[in-house]
Amino acid sequence: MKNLLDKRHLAHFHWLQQRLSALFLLPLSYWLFMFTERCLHASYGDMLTWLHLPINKYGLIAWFLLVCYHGALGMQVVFEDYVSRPRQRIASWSANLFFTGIALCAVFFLIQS
Amino acid sequence: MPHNRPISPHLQIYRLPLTGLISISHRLTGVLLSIGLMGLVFILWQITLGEARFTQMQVALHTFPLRVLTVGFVYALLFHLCHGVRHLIWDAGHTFSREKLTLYALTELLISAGLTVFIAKELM
Repeated sequence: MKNLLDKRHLAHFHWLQQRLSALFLLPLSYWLFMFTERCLHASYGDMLTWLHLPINKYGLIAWFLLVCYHGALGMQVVFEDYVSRPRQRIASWSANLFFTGIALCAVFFLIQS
Repeated sequence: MPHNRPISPHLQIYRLPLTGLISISHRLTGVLLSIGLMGLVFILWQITLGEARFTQMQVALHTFPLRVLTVGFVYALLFHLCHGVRHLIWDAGHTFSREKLTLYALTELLISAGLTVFIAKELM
């Protein structure tokens, strides 16, 4: 019974994290669109000037970190629904590794630029 | 926990209603957007490599296939975002009646398409 309650709390926590990360991602998407627009049209100098403004740099860093977190949570749900039990753990670990790698690379390149 | 936990309906057999189709598309766009993150990280990498690589990447981004991919990414993101907002409305306990389900599903599709046209015009 205690085990079941723990699992219920875990599921509720997972749901809450997914919703909260989604809520924070809504306003942060602004930086993604601004970044995409500059990738397409800005000169290299303008791009660097934009990226060096702390509000833009940290806005993008926050977007990448949260999107990776949100993605990892989402992939876990997909695997739980569509992947059979013995392979679920490997799939979840691979996804977590993928999102951690993406987040680390993005933060590293944003700090480097 | 037993290992015979039921899994989701088999999509080859079960005929999904519009809300169901949107729900599975929400998952699909989530997976595709995750793959697309690699492209964004690649762009950041090119920026760190200097002006020549950035310009080269910018030229590539203006080719037809990559323009289509960019608009596709934007649409996937906006669709995922719109359906995400719908989930938040559901979590608040609203719009569960059968008529409202289809009406709101169509609204979501229209809003995400409209936003994509608006943003794609700004981007391209």
